[in-house]
Amino acid sequence: MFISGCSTPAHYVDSKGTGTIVSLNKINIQDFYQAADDMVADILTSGVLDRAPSQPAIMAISSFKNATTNNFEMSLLTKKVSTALLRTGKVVTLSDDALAASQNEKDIFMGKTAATRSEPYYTLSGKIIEDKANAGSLKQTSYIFQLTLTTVKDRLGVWEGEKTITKQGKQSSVGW
Amino acid sequence: MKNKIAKPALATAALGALLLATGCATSVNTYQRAQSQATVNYIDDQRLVTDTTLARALAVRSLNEARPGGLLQVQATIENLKTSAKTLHYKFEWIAQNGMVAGDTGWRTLFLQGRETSAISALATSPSAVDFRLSFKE
Repeated sequence: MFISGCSTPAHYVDSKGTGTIVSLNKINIQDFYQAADDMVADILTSGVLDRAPSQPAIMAISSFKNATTNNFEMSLLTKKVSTALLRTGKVVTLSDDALAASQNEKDIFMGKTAATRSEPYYTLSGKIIEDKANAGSLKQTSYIFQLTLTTVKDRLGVWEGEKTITKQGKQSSVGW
Repeated sequence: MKNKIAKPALATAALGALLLATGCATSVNTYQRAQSQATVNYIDDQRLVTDTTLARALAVRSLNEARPGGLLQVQATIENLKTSAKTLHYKFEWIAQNGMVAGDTGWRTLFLQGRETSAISALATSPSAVDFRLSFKE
């Protein structure tokens, strides 16, 4: 009775809300949302996507490096960025769908479609770094999200963005 | 004898007053150009206050908008009316022409020092967004 009375029953929380867990040793779901949102806003306000010769510009997701001690699926970041950019209508993403690729090759072989391939105008690459510090029992962890938008034709970085999320405390907590 | 006791007591009181006046203060002094060079598109706003304590601690000084690449961008200039530091949460919701909500930023954290004025902004990634709703909570 005493044990169950004090426990928190499982319940749903808003994934982007203030009731989510804040961890000092991992990137939380709200961190991915915030980093993606801020960098998407930065890309869009820079106007770089509006300078592509054809609209919408084709963008491919390139390599992303996880330089943190966390193990996570990188699409937690890349999918949020590509989804938001796609929604603006300013870019289309080069899909890595295997079925679409094989069907396209079959259609080309059968002469149903011209042998033209969509080539990306932009590639998006990135890296996530972590920085840890502590003062006594007080811990601080920063996660630095870095993105680079490159034009394929000349391999020039036309936009770069960095977003740092810093968390501090003695232990992880529920809510922020 | 009376004076010998009173002097250290006065000194301690004066030091305490000085610490209260300076050491513990987190208030921010702000300076800016007298005649702004920016061309700002201010927005007339409508306010619904349900937390009067928060409304007394936080002032939304102005709201302005821009349209980079045809997308709605809104900025709010916020002032902490208290002399102590404050942590707040805010969220922008985007509203389409037909009145439907077309996405939101999720809750974000805002740190303000005492009497600090700061700006928060967000960009709607949906081209259909024409309006917004900005919410604050402690």
